[in-house]
Amino acid sequence: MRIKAAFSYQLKNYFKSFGWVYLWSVAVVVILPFLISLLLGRINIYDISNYLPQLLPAMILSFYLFVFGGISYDGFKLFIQNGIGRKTYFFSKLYALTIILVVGEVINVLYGIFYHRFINAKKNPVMTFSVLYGHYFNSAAANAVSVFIITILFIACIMVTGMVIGSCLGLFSRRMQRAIIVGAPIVLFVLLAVLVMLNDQTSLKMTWIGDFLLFIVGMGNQSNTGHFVAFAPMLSGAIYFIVMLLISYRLTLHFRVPR
Amino acid sequence: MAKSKPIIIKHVSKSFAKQQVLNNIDLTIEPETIYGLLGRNGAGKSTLFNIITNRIPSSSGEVTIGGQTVTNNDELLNRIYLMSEANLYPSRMRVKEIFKLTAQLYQGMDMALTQTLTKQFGLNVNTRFSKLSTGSRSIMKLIIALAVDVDYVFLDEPTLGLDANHRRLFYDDLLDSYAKRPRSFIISTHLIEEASSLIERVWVLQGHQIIINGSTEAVLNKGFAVTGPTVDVEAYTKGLNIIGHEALGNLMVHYIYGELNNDRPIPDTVSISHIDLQRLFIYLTNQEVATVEN
Repeated sequence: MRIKAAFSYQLKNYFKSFGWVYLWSVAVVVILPFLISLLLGRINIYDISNYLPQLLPAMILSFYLFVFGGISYDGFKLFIQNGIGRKTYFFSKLYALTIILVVGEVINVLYGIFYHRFINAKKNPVMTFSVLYGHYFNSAAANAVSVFIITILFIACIMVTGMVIGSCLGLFSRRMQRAIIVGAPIVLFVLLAVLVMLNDQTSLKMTWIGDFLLFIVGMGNQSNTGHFVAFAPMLSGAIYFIVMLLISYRLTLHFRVPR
Repeated sequence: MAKSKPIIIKHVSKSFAKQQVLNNIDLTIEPETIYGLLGRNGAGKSTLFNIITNRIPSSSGEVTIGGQTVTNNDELLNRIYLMSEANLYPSRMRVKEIFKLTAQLYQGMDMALTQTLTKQFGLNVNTRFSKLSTGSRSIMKLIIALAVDVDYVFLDEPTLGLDANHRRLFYDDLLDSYAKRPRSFIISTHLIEEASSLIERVWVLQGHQIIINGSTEAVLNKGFAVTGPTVDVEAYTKGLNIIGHEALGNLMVHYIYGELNNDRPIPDTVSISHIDLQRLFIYLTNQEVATVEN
């Protein structure tokens, strides 16, 4: 397998696009409001903490991994033209995106520390999931590590969801893809509406679905916020990640050109 | 450099929905040979190339090199390059970036040759792929095909959009490249007359099957034009494999594929000559009259 060459090409490209997404996000979320305040002569009341969300890097990372995880077929086309098969394409992409995920999450933590220290100390903790799982263990270090793992797994699940959607769409023609992209949200919206209706009639909280949802997030009967069972999202996240990864892999093996 | 192993195509069939395109194709692609794959529009030439290069799966059968299947096998796929009409490069990528990428993902590329050919063909390497004309795209892909380090180069309509000068240049460059670094070229083209001087072995794809598989010389040696008065020509060619005919007044030309009857005396009024590859192809693939004996 020519995984090294494929991986190095993918990683370089992903880092480049990741940088661009960061730059654009900072420009739109921070610089644009600043310039508007400047133009309107309201610079004296401009407060960066009002414009700079603590979750900004996490949102950028999740968005990036979902979208770029979903862009599958174009990469496959390029690789098969260059004598690289589907398996190598899939794994090189997975490895490269995983590196982006880890680097991105480290940036998130560093940004969280910076934000907490210098921008707004009163608000959220450094890592958002600390609110739910930050006190499960008796050791502060163990809590920090577990929350870090949960956060990485959470974003990884978003990434593989994008990969499954992308590899599924990659099997269809452009016309069919458009139909799915338009139709799927409508179907999901109707399903959601039905669920809400059902919830009104027989509260979901009383059904096995409710119990299951509480179980996978680690909300045991006696748990208070911050003391949720940290192992539960790790386990459910890992299972979801593996299952989605397998689905995406199997779908990628069916890619063909022309479609 | 060790001689590469042949590509074995065994019992390959392909159908799209209920439409059969290829039926039980058996072929061997030997190293260091130039092949010509001839067939009419829709005969399945591109489909066959796409199956060999693992772009699409076959419905049945397999393609192997050295006993290993090519399916998702990078080591083997990396020894094959397919230049086709399909534009699989990112549209925003510049030509020079595509060259660099090809060198990175394949096991190597002759960058000096790339530069020489780029100058010869007058291709601007700073142009984005999407901004290239059809001819320039073909030129870019041909430069890659000639410069990339592989053992098998598949060229599907390589001269699409190229003017006569560029086509001549390409044929010369191909022969030059082949002489310096022998490898297999498999050329699918409708410009048979132009390419016939390059081709060592000929395949003709017709009716979902390979109906001709032989050296160009052997195939051409079996093609005859028998010309003369209608009565004499019909008498002489009776029982032979007539693949086509043309009539002009009292004169008749019968095109034959196969052996002539050496026991039968040739009338003084009848002349026999060999026919070129293009004419032979036209009559062989004219389904109304052609029957083929390999």
